[in-house]
Amino acid sequence: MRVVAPDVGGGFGSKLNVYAEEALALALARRLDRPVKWVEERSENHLATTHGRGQVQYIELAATAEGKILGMKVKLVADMGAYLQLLTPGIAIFGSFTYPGLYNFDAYSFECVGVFTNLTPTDAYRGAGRSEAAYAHERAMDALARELEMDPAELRLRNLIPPFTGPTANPAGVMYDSGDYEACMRKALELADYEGLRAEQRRRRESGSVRQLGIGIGNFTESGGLSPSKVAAGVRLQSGGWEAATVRMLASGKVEVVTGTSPHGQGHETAWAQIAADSLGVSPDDVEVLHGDTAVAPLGRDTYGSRSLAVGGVAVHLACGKVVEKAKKIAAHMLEAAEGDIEFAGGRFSVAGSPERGVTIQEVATAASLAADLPEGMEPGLHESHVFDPPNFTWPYGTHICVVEVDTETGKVTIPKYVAVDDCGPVVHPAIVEGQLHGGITQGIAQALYEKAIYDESGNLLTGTLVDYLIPGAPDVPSFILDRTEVPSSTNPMGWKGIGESGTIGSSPAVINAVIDALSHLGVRHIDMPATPMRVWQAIQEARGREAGERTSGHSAQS
Amino acid sequence: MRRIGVTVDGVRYEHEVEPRLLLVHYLREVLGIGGVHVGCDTSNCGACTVLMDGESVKSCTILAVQADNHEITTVQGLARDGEWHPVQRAFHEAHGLQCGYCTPGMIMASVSLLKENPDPSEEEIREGLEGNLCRCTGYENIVKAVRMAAERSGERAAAS
Repeated sequence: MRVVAPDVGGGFGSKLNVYAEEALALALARRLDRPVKWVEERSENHLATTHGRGQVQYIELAATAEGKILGMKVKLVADMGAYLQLLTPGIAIFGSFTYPGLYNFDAYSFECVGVFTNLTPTDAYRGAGRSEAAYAHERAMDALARELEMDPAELRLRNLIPPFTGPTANPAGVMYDSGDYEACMRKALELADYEGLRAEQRRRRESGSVRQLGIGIGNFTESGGLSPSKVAAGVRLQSGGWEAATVRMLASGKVEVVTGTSPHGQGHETAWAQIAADSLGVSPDDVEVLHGDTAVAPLGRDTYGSRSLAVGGVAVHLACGKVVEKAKKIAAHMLEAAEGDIEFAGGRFSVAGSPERGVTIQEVATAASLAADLPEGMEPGLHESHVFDPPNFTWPYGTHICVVEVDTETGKVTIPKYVAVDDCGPVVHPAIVEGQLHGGITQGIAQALYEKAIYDESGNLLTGTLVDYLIPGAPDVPSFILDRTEVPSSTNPMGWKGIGESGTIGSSPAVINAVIDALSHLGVRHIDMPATPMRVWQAIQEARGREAGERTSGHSAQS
Repeated sequence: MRRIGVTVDGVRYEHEVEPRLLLVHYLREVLGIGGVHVGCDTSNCGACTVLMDGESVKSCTILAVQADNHEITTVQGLARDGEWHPVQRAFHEAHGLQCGYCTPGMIMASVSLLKENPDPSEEEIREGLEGNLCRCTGYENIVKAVRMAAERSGERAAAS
C-alpha cells in the first residue's frame, strides 16, 4: 500500500484516525478493479469523524487556610461515543498526568469512568486530555481563591513547583523535564498589568458599570513530544513513539531531508530545512524536505501530540550529526590529516592550526559520491538515518491571562486583552511558534465561548454544518500579546519541547475564569462552556434571583 | 443544458452546463481550477471566494449560468508576469497561512476588501473578512498581511 498525503489541510486530531470509509474505498477499488475516490462532505466530517472533550469533571482540592494545597482528587465521567476509535479511551488517561498542573502537593487521586453513548466517538482533539485537565485545575484554583478570599494569582504563586532543570516527579508521578514556572507567570502578570487590571475591575464594580471586567488566569503544562515507546506500550497503544529521519547530501552538495512527520500547516519544510542547514553549515535554500508519501518517506509515526519538532526534528538533527561525522573522516582523508585534527565550523572542515587547509561539506559530498578516493573500506555516499525514541515526554508550559468585558445586560463577552507567556524551550522559527499560539489560543477561545456539539434527545447531531456549529470569525477573536521564557527541556539534546497544543490548553480556562471573575461579585460561581450570551445572562439572573431570595428569607427570619 | 461564455483568469471559455451547476463546481470540475476550494457546502466558510467583475463572491452561492458574460478571477489568476499579487506576497511574508485551505478565498476576499477600502483599520479588516473562516491562524497574521499589503500600496501610491 502507498499513501500519498501532501498538504492535506488542518487536522487538529481528527485526521489521526483510520476511518471505515477509507477501508471501504480500498475494498471497492479491489472489487471493481478501478480507482475509487471518496470525498467527505462537511456534514459527514462533523457527524462521522471524531469529537473532542466530552467529560463531566469532579475535582476537589484540600488546602490550608493560608492557601497551601495539600491534595487533589479528580473523578471523570468520559464520553466514549458509540464506538472506540484509535485513542478514545486513552485521552482522559493521558490527561491524568497533568491535573496537578504546575503545582506542588502531596496527595493525588484520579478516577475515570468511560461511558459508551449513542453519540459521535470522541478522540484526540488539539490539547487532548490536557486541555480538559488544565480547565479543571484552573477552575478549581479560582474557586479555592474565592473560598479563601485570596487573590487568584497569589494563590497560584504560593503553590508553584520551584525551578528545576532535570527530570522531577509531579504529584501524579510522571517526570516533568524542566521548568521555571514562577518566572513565566510573573512575566505574564507584568505584561498584562495585573495590578492595573484589578484596580480597573474595582472601579467598575464600585460604579456598577454595565460592562464588568474579568481577569482569568490559565496556568498549564502540556505533555508534548509523544512519546517514549515504553510509555506507549505501557498504555497498550500498539505503536512505537519514535520518529525517523534520513539526511542525504547529493553529489551537487544539495541536501535532501526525509522526515516521517507529516506537516499539514506546521511549517516543517521551513523548520526542518533550518535544522539541517544549521547542523550541516549549508544554506536553508539548499535543503529540500521530503514527506507525505510512503514511497518517499516510508518510516515514521506522523504528526500529532506536539511531537514533530521534539521527536522528528531531533531525529533530523541527529541524522545530520551522523552525516558530519562521516564527512569528517572523508575530509581528513582529503586533507591528509588525522581525523582528530579536523575541525568543523560553518560548513567547512579544516585542519586545526592551519585554517587555510580546508574543504567544504559540499566538496566532501561530491567526493563521497564520486567515491574515487575514499578512506579504505568506506561506503560511498553521504547519507545517514536516525530513529529517535525520546526517553521522556517534553513538558511545555505557560501562563495565559485573559481579560474579558461582560455586558451584564446582554451576557455578551468580549476580550479586550489576551496575554500568553509560553515556554517551549529554544525556538527554531519564531513566526511559526507564534502562529501555532495564535491558532491554538483561538481554538481554545472558540471552545470557551462559541462551539458546542449539540444533539437532540434521540442523539441526532444538530450541529452538523458550519451554519449550526459556530466557528469564530476574525471579528470574534482578539489580537494577542505573546512572550516567552526559554528553559531547555532535559528530554532531548536540543532542549526543544513543541508548541502545537499549548495555546488551546491555556486559553479555555483563562477565558472562563475571566468570565466568572467578572461576575463573581454578583454571586456567579459557575458557567459551563461555551459561555454564550444566553448562558452568561442566565447565570447573572440566577445569581440575582438567589441573592434576592436570600434577602427575602432573611427578612422573614427577622420578622 | 445552457450555453455560457465566461472569462476566467483572462481566458474566455464556452460550455454547455446544467442550469443547476454551481459556479464553484464549474470552476473546479469543468475548468480544473483546483485553487478554488470547497470547505463547507453551506456558504459559511468562504474558501471558494472568487472575484466576479472585480467584486468578491462565494462561488458556491451562485450558479454557473449567472456568470454568463461575466469576468471571474480566481487566486490562480492573480499573479502578473510571474510576480505574485501584493496580497499574495503579504500573506507569504506575514505568515498569514498555515495549512493553506482557506487561503485562496481569504486572499480573494482581502483583494476585494482593499479595493473598496485601500487603508482599512484592524477592526475594518476583521469585519471585512467576517465571511471567511480560518481554523489555523487565529486570524492574527491574516489581519497583519492585509495591513502590510495596504501599507505597501499606500507607499506605492505616494511615490507615484
